[in-house]
Amino acid sequence: MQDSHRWIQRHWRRLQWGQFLGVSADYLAMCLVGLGSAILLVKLFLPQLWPHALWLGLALCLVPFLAWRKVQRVRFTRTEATALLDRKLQAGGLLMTLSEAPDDQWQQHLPRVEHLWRESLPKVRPRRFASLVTVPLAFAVASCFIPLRENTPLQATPRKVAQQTTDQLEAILKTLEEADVLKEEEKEALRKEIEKFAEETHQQPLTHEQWETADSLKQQLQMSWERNERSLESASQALEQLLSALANQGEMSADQLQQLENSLGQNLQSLAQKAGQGKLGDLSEGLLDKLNQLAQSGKLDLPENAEQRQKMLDELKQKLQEESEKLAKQRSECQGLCEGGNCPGGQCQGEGQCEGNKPGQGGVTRGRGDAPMIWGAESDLANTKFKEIVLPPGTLDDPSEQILGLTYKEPEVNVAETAPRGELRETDPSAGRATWDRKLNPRHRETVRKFFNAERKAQSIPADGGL
Amino acid sequence: MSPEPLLSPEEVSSSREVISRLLDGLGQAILGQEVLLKLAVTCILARGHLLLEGLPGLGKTELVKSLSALLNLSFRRVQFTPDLLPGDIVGSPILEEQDGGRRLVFHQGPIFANLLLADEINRATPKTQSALLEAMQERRVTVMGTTHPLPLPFFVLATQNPIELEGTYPLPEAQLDRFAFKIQVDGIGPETLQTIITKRHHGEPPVLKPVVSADELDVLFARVDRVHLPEAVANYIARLVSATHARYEDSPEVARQFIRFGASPRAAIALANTARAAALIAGKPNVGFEEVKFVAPSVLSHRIILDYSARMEGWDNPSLIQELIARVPEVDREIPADVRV
Repeated sequence: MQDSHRWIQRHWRRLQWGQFLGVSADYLAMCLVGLGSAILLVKLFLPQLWPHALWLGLALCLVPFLAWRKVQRVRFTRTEATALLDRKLQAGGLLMTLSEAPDDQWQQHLPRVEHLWRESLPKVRPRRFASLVTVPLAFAVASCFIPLRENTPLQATPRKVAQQTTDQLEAILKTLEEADVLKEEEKEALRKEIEKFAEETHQQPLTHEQWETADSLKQQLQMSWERNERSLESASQALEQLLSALANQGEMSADQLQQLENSLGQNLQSLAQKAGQGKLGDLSEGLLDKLNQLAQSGKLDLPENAEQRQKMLDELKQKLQEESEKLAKQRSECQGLCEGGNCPGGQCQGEGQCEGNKPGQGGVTRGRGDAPMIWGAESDLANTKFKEIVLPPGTLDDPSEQILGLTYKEPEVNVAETAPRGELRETDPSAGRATWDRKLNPRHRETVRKFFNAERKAQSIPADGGL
Repeated sequence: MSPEPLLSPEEVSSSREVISRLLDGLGQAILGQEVLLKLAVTCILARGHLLLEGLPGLGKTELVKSLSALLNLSFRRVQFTPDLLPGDIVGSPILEEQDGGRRLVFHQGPIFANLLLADEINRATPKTQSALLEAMQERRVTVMGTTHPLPLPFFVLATQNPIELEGTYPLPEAQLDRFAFKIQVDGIGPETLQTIITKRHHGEPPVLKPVVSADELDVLFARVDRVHLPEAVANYIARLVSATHARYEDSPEVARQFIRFGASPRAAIALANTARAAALIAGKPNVGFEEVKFVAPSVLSHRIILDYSARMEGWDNPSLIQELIARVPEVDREIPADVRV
């Protein structure tokens, strides 16, 4: 290959490299601005997407590829590159000619000093590339350091709140069913109520009546728990009393013992019904028969044999204790729902969010009813009686006059016996009120009058005309 | 197809020597008009017709007469007047008695010469002017259905006056388009005038002897044809001519605004041919951008028609062509900013 062709090739490549740099700089700047904007948007409006938005930065890897493709479409032709080099060398078209029609003789007429060829090659200007990319790059990097906007809880829409409430009610009902503390009819009634509530609140936001319905349902469910717990507790107490009485048999009459047995029988009704439904399978046959009998006849018939009776009562005590512990465990598992969620008072602002449970911050939908009322940090202007008005000088008609002092009281004017008369009366303070009034600017006088009138009214002093 | 071999340095050198003799000879007759002489020789070497426009007394006719003398070509001069008829130029059939019978014999007009000086061509009627159309384009004339070839080479060197326009007939566009060059003959400086009045008694020019033979001229013509036109330069010519058309998308705004009709393809051909001749005169085996720029004003200025608003804005044909040359880049693409030299 001749030297001129080699230089043409180098020139051509340099031009393409320049095109590539130019297009790359444009694309890179656009991508960096886009990336910075996207990060900024994510940080300000979609903070939950951070730092996943950084994956957008992978688009920067496509820039060289896209730039190269663009350059391939618009790149210089070899003829153009040769013409530009010819012009730079001031070869008068000879270089172009020899690239199209090689001729050894004319080849000698081309510049033979390599320095000239080298000088004719365009130089890469990284500074321009850097100047184009620097600002967008700084913007993109700076956007990464902008603090993430506080992750505000999702606004609970009315529909969402209704759904949450319905879910909560259904969860409580399910727990109650599992704990087997509801009667069938109660269960059906509650289920229907919850379904009706869900249907009503499916499309429309919650009204205050529906909130009351939800509260009522929750209360019913809570009461079912408590009723069952009380029932077990009273049964345990009755059993304890009976056991205590039997231990001290000589101290109690037969009627009193029978009364205690009856009381125990009444408190064991719910347990007897469970036994009747076969839900207490781990009991001994004797106790099971007695409980079935209780469920049917409503009367507890304990064995006559003291030993057998003691054994049965001990088994019954153990069973009651188990039932009580089971119920307590289920209730503790249900703590999140059965007692108003994780948030005391049940005022959650969103899913699992309790940030709103601070006095004065309220909940999204209903506010906090149990926030303590605190008074303090009163305004500095609490004692201000009237708004401060800066007035222009009012009384200093004579420059020689001086302010001797300021009081909150009406000025006392003693009319001198030797008070001047005639024209001097107009200017001498000793001449009396009229002179003083005359000297005071009407605007000042009105302001002072307002002040003292207000003070007198506050002190229940009857206004006597004063000023 | 292998490209035609370039002119050898020896061929270029010998051509340049012949051309130098011609230019020197013209320089003896016409003083202080080097550019004009170079353009005239360029036009002759490109086998183009030349229209000289200038005030009386600037040496237009003398230039043509000098050319004919130096080139040793047959020369005829026709003074165009309003009553001149086409037959007065191309010739006419004459009834003659021959061999006892009478027959029409075609008598050649003054156009049957290598060099025709059409002096003050715009004083003839359009009918007479159009008699030159076929001759200038096809180098032949047709009279009464018979075509008569003109002697080669054939040049029309015309002159016209830009003043005294009363009783003149501006050349039609088709006629103008056939002139390869239209050259404005400008006045000369005081130094040249002093030389003229010192050396030319009674204004008579020196007697010129032929310095270029017919053979040498043929060789020059052949070598002009072999001057290489690079692709990029051809592209530049094409863009330059296209830029005179308002509909061309890359046309400069000044052309869109002020040019009503642009140059024809014949202009592009003339531009390429005359640029080749200019390159040979410059001693180059190829055309460069400089040669195109040198001949473009003479080739294009008479081939565009300006809008009426151009004159109001102070534009005329030569200045507009100069503006186009300045605006149209030699290479359509600029060096990218990221690799500036």
